Amino acid sequence: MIINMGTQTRVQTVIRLRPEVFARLKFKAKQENLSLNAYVEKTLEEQTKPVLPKLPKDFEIDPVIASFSGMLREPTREEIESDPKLARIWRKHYETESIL
Amino acid sequence: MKQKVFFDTNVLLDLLIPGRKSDSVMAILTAVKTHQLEGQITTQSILDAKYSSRKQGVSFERFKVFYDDLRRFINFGEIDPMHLDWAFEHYSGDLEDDAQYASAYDACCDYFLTRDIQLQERNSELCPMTVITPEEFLSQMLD
Repeated sequence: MIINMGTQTRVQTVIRLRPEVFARLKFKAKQENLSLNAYVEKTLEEQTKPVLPKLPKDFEIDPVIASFSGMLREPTREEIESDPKLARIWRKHYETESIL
Repeated sequence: MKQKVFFDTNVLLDLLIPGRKSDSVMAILTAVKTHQLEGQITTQSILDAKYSSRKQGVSFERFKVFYDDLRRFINFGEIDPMHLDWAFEHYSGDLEDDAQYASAYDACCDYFLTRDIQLQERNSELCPMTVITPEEFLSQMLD
């Protein structure tokens, strides 16, 4: 049996099936009004499609990640005044451009 | 098989810059950290965020803590010349965005998280990668 693994890649896989498995596949394909190849391709596609996980009700944001929120804050006046380097950066920042 | 999610630079900056919508980004990054999703960013995004952080007075040490944490749980990709070639060929108005998109596609990502509308117009049945905002993506995880 030859299965087309997607129209874009044009990869084909040849597989051998036990007669009873083959008969069952044929039966299933007929039930869904599909050719045998179309049924196998559809089933493979469904089985390999990744599933988006659902977040549990008690889901909590990681505290370390939360601590980075707003990290690019503007320094306070006290911080600027106490740090000449910071003051230089901020004066330049105000004179030239704003953040992305 | 886990869904692979790419974080565009602007989404990363949502987390870092005060006043931007960051709740969804925090939740999605947490889902990556807890192995519910696979995450991907580019080294370029880190460099851009570092550049912004310097302008905002964030110390090198503080930014390194952020980088070290990401390094533990997210995949780092790069923008190589092939991605740049693609970006120039499919220029949509922002070369950096187009290059990020090419890198994400190359890394077989399922979702591309961004706020750029012009990239969201790229969605088509032919491309298996969905361009989506963090809020829309999170709402799918909460359904």
